[in-house]
Amino acid sequence: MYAYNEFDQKFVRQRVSQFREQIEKRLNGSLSEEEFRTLRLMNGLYLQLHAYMLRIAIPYGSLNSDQMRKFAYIADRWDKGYGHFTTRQNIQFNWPKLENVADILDALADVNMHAIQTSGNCVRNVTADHFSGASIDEIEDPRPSAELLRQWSTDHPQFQYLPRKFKIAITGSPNDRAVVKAHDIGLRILRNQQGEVGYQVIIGGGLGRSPFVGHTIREFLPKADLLPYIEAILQVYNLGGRRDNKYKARIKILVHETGIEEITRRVEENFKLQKSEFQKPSDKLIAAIEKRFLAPDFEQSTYENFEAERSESPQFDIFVKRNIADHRRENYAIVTVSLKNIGQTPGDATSEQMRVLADIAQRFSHDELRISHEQNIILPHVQKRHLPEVYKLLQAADLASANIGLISDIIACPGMDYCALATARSIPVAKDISRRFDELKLEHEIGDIKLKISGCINACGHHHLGHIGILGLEKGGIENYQITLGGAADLTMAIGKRAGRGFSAEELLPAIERLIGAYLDLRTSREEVFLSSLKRLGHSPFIEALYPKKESQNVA
Amino acid sequence: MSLEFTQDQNSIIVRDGKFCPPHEQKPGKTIELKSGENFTPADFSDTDIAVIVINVLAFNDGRAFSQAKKIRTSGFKGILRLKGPVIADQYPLAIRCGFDELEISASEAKRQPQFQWSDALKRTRDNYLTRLTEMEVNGDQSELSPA
Repeated sequence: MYAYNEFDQKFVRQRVSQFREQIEKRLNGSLSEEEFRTLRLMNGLYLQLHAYMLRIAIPYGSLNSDQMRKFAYIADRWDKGYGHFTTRQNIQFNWPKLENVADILDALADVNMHAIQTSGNCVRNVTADHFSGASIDEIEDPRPSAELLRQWSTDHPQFQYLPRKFKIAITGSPNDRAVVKAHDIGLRILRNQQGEVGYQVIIGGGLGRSPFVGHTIREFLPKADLLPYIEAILQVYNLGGRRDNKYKARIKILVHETGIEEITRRVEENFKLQKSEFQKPSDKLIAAIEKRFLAPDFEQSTYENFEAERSESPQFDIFVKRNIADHRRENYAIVTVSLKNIGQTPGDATSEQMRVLADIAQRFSHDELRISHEQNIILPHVQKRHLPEVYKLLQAADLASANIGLISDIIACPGMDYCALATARSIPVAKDISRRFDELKLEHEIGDIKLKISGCINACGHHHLGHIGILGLEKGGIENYQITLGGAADLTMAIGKRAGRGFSAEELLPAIERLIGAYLDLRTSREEVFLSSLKRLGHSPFIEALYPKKESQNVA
Repeated sequence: MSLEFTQDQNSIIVRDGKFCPPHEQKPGKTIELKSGENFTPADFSDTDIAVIVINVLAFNDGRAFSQAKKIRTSGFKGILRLKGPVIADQYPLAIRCGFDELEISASEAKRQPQFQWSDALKRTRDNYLTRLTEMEVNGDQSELSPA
């Protein structure tokens, strides 16, 4: 785990005191409301529908038990006893008071955390594969690269006032778990033919109102060139990105309107300059960062009790099948803890649950936790022999839902319950869907499926990437939900296609039921998951299920 | 010496954290660039250029920061000035990108008194980028912090 050095400590403290001054400057009139807004956003403070919201960075989704306990403390002391984990590996508190925000930031600094650049038109929290350092398929742990980018981007003098926000994601595995093709810059660690480690660089991906699959701008970038290359991309974007229309200001639009060839030319030309000008970080500094991410001291162990428990308890066995992934060490496992209980707000955790997770991590996961972009919590290093006990502890804290990858493992944005931009509710929709399929006892029968819900066109719920996507809009003051089909978030990233006219809030759940019913009828076997049926049969039979003939006759 | 703001001035130069009167005409040329305006290094190869001014219209238009950096990269050694509605919190960024000074309006200077600029200037030091790219690493990067 990365632990702050003196410099990091000092920097974060200074930033807190600077923010205290900015609040004062707003109050005494030195800063206008617009100027203060820009500055508070760079420090993670939003004004939402009902209150302020503070978004705290969890760099590359990694944290330790002390940090998790501090979230619990903040939730109890300054908020309403819970926090919301987001699709960008942040945590949000929905009810802080402005006068307490600087104190919250100080409390975070106590455990090496901050809210710097979690919002605003700057380089945001760099996200990474949530299985990094643990997964069996990893070429290299992406977190040292992500930490290098965090340091480079923090308070970067050129890039604090970009045309729009800028998101970077990195994966170290061939199996992309960081959705790198949906980011302003996506990085994939790979080896070239000589066996050297480097990056595939992807730019211009994104969701929102104009979704794009990112373009590869460099097939192989040597590791040592990372910062000058990223600096070149950002400089080209800062100077060339549109500033006349905030909906057209992301780099994806610059790439789309200028063409990837011309952007590549500009970036490569700029990179040549950067390479001579930009002094690279010393090998010593890089090595020092890498040292912070060394694997924990894994233990040898046997796990007969684990196998025994699996055959004795069908419930535990299902949990293992759904929520456990292969670890690079044969006697270890990666546990995904679902924050998607039936009827619960996706991504919410109570302070009590945070403390339980912190305790489990400390005792059984080498003190490490991860937050996934799918809004779940990962215990990356659990010995198999401890899994039965970990499962019991999770059960007692209502954290043992065995639904990872199932229809109730929904990504949803906060929607109209919290967000000032939302045009429709998304949390209640997620709750209804998970409740309904739980009642029908069909969830495990349906199997792997990705359902994602956004409450407005900004697509924070990643609906474009859902096998089934739901987009909540507003038509004449009434919520209207569009369904998209066939999106995918892995390396084969695809943007879902709209099925047809939208549904009212009342029509939506029956429509989803018809859609799933059609899949269950049409699939060749249980092995053919929803997305495979969709690919084999095309969208038509599913669209027919969504819009049955009888209904259209009635409408006519 | 620093000046107090006086009502009859239209603009103020901020230099070294102090308010100064607008420059007297200096020997050599002054070139003005718009925010985001394209240029090539050859445009500044004229050794007679003493001052380059980049004009911004809005505080959140960050293009000037990259323009300054590019101008410095191209080897320009004269005075680089950022002119427009800058806020004191941006001053350290401007310096780090290669600007020497700012030119702000009298009203900006009035609502953001001089001490705010001199305070902000202190934040020019101790930044990640300088540390990453220039500083020789000493022991602190490899030692765990006590907390």
